[in-house]
Amino acid sequence: MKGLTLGIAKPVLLWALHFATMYALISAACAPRALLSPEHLVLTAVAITVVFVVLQIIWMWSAHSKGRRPGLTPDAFALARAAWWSGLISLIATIANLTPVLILPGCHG
Amino acid sequence: MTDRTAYVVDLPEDQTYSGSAKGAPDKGFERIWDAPPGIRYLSSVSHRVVGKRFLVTGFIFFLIAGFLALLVRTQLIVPDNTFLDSETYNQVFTMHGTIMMFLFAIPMLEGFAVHLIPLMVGARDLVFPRLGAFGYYCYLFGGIIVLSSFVFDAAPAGGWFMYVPLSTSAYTQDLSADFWLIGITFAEIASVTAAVEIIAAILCTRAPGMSLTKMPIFMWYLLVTAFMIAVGFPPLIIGSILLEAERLLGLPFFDIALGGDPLLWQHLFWLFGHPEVYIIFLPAAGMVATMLPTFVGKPLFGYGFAVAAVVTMGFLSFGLWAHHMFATGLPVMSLTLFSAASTMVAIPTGVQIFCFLATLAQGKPRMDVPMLFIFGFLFIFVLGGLTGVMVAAVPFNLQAHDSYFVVAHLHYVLIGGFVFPMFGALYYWMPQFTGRMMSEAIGRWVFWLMFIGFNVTFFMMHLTGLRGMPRRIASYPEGLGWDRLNMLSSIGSYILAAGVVLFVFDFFWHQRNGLRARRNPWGAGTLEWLYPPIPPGFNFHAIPEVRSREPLWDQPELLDRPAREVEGALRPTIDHRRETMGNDPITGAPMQIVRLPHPTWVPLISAFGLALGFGATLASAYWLVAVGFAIALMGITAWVWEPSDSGVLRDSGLRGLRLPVNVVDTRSHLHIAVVGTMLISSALFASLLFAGLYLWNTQPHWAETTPPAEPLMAGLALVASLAVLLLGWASKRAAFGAKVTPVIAVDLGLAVSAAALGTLLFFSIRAVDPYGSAYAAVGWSLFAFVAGYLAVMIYWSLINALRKAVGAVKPGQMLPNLLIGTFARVVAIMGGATAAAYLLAGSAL
Ligand code: HEM
Ligand SMILES: [Cu+2]
Repeated sequence: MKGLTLGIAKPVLLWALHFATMYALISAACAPRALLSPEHLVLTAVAITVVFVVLQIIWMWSAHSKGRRPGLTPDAFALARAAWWSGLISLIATIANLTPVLILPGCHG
Repeated sequence: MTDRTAYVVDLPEDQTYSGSAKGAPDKGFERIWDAPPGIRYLSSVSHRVVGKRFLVTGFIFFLIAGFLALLVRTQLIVPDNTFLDSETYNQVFTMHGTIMMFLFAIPMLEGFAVHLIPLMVGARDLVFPRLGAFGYYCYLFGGIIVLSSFVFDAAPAGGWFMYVPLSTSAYTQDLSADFWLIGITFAEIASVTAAVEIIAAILCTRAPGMSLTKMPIFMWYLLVTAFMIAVGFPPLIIGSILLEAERLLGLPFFDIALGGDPLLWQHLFWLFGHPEVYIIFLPAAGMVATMLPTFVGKPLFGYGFAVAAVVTMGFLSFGLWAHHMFATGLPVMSLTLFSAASTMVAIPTGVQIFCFLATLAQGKPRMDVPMLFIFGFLFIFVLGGLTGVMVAAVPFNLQAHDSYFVVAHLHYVLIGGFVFPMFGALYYWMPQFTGRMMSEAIGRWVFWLMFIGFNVTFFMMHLTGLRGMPRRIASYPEGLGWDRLNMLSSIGSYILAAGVVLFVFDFFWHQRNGLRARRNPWGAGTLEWLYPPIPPGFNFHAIPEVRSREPLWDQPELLDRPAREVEGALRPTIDHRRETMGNDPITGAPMQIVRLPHPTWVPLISAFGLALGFGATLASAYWLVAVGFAIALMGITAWVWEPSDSGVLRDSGLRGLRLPVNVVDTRSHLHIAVVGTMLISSALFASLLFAGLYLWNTQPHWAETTPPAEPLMAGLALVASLAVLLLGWASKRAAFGAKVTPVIAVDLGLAVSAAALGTLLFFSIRAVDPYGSAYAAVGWSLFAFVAGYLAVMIYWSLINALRKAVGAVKPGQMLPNLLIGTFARVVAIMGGATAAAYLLAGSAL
């Protein structure tokens, strides 16, 4: 039960972490200090996103299989369903976080 | 006995034991819960009393702010109007926005939460009744401070978001900005205390058997909202303190000339401001999700979807803040990131609306007044969501920025998303507050007047906005194509106001003439309707076991007999004290008996002391500030110096189950509250760190020219923070043991190591001039922040040691050591992070 409950929050927490990382990377590349070059920005952002996305998918899969275990109580089923949906929404939103880095030619568009 | 559950003594029921005062033996259940009569009513801490105070006060602020809105609309009814001069106009719209957002919406939802949570989860009161009362008084005094600015002719006029540099002392020389900053910060204390209270109440005091997924869906909404308040309010609290420090002490946080950055204020404000919109909206949506099933007669469709939607909305809404800063020249790439997240939040919002519509589709809803307001909500909020997606697109946003289109959008979301559900909720739950039903016939008039008035007022504003009318202008010339639209908007606002006035009339009328409410008048499924709603002073004679999400629908034993005869836990009042059941946060299994406080003046006194302190800051009477804070400190000390009953087993009245009183356990309500408090504290700290990082990144020149902190001292501080960390851990371990006196060494060790950490941090930064640059000033604020926490820790651990030394602590009563253990470990991390920041900032990076 505890695992299932955390399963609802885990994927969005991961999204939050990803969002913060993307914001930090973009800020590092685009602020006056210019810590990162544009190429490094794209490479790091893509690499990090791939890791996050894989993790999201694994968690969704795990929520899915937990929801199909025989003899599941309705309580546990509701939690598993919530975890799966939370995972799906977070997955899409994580990918969306990457789009600015991918589609824009540079910091200032 | 596991290592998480502490030492307990099993006592027969007839045997008394020392500890906190027991109630008078002749007092029965209802007498124990009686509200005190006369003036002592003000000392009541019961959630019914405090909840009603929040609701009434919040509604009065709504009427005040609504009146200000009418002044605005009256000024704009014709071109070149001279009804208000432009200075007054600025004050009026600023106060309108400020009061609506801070003194109406948030307190109102707190009122519903405070009143309804215990009834809906099966508790006899909130877990921390005194904290609730304290929060209310902070809110009241803060609101009075903000309002009193009118009396001193110093009403804030800088807009509800108080942008710098306009709000710095260079451009706002009078006290108006100080009224805003101090009053609002004070009222925010109420919000963060309410957040802790809501989290602990929902997680720890549910009826036996109410697992997380058997909670009414409203509880999920409130839980997520409370976490959002805990993380979302701190940035503004920090921002306001920094700005007030700049105004009062001249520290250059936002001053360009000394490496500050006005955009830093905008970031901190909107880091709070956008989540705030969701903090207002989510509880209202939760009310809709609670009322809808009642009127459809079917459970909410897709409980699991709804939970996922609420949780994800709560998180995603933190990634949107910079969409309020699209026009500030931030890098386009960051803007696109925020634009993406702004669009993504539409997904969970859509999932949730889908759950509502699917519930509606399951049956034919009864069209009672609350249901009308739900339809109003769906209609208006969906339109507001559509314009929201429009303004989330950067190019459109640049067009619509600061125009009446934005005013239209924000009112569609706020009034549709909050005011309509709230009026529905007032009609729905009114029997809980007054024991009577409000009028169906008048209610329909209220609804239609408000609905038509609203749409006439605000739909037009989309058009005026697209025709280029900027917001916040006191008058406009004739012939720009804005005249007729403005006339219509103003007329609409009077119609809307007529609806509100009619509601107020209905309220007073129903108190006398409304029908007395039957038991469960709407045929709802949730626990708050178990008793006939003639407002008693108590909640449950016995706390029933819950086996369903809609207990009143699925558990016939609850409604087939008078409510007072329903079986459950804690019917016998063995110690004649106020008490309720404590549960495991996830499974809902009974875990402890929670002792609750009786009426007390302590919250009022503490809040008054703080108000005096804050108010005197405004008047620059610093001795009075000291007096005020001293009063508050005394009040709070009296509050925590309470003998403890923990460590005793008593009969829970539930099939012979014996449970400990106020158990020492990491799942205990007090420990959960400390965790919540430390979440808030970490968010405060993170906001300061963010400020430092932000300046470091955007003002590299100033970061380089600011002299570095003393590296040796900072290194030693890092070691000291490690000591605090270890002692915190030791204190936690000791809490579970049976030894008392030896633990005094740990308490004293905590005090000493905290003092050492503070001193070393001070010596690390001593040579840096806080007035030299914004960057240095942030360094000092990090120190001041951590020092404040260390002072609390020293005071607290000395009290703990003293109580043990005078024999006030028995084995099994070491909960304070568990609590301070957690507190100390978080403070150690903050102290260590500060030391590390000093080291890094000073290095060649
Ligand atoms: C009761 C009906 C209401 C009317 C007729 C109304 C009218 C207005 C008008 C005309 C403005 C624009 C003033 C200007 O830019 O010159 C405004 C601003 C605003 N309103 Fe309302 N309003 C109402 C209710 C609310 C509610 C319920 C809320 C929030 C819960 C709210 C929050 C705001 C905010 C935040 C602003 C922006 C203030 C600023 O620019 O600093 N309003 N309102
Ligand atoms: Cu926003």
